[in-house]
Amino acid sequence: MAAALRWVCLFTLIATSEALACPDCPTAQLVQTSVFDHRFASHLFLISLPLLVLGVISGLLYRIGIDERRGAR
Amino acid sequence: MSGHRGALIAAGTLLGIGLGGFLDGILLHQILQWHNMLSSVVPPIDVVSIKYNMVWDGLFHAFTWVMTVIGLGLLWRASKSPEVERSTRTFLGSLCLGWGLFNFVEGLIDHQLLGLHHVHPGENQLGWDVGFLVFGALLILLGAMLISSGVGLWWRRWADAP
Repeated sequence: MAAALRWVCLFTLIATSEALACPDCPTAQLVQTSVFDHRFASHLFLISLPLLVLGVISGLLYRIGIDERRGAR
Repeated sequence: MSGHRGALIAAGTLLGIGLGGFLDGILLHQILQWHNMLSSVVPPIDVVSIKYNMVWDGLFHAFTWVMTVIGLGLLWRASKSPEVERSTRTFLGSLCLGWGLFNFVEGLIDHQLLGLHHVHPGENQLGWDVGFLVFGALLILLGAMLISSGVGLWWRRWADAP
């Protein structure tokens, strides 16, 4: 219990120190506004596109051996 | 008996994609400050545009983290299945294949087709982009060779088994 409490205190201290990294400064707010504007969804789709393609390729690789196994059964 | 080799190959490939993505993000994006995710859309020339690209680099890292977690899950599942041959060559080959596929597909789509960013923007950016693709293709070749040799060994052991 005491160990768990120590971890909670440590995490709280870290979280608090991160909160001091000025997320509400004008620069940070300007960045947040720019990122989450009307282009956010299209940019998100564009940057995820290569990884979606790679996911499909991995899915196809997963099938290697499945048909042979079914045939053996 | 036919094993389900695809389980190990897919797990290794996803881990290779994830680790290749992390290496790319840590070395090229963060340490060298090249290859930022949307640097052709919003060139990182001042604090706001640098932070803007940093957010998109973070989202890219989030996607590569997801790939790594799925790869770990598949590897854990494959390790528990008696039908999956635990071949080191196949696994190492799959890691190389995944890393190479990451470079090749990312380079082809983001650099050449969409033009979202380049490896090293500026003079000779095409050279850097082509080098990135060639490195990816070489890794794919190495991975395929290792996987094939692993499969060969697997078949030899299967054939020699009493």
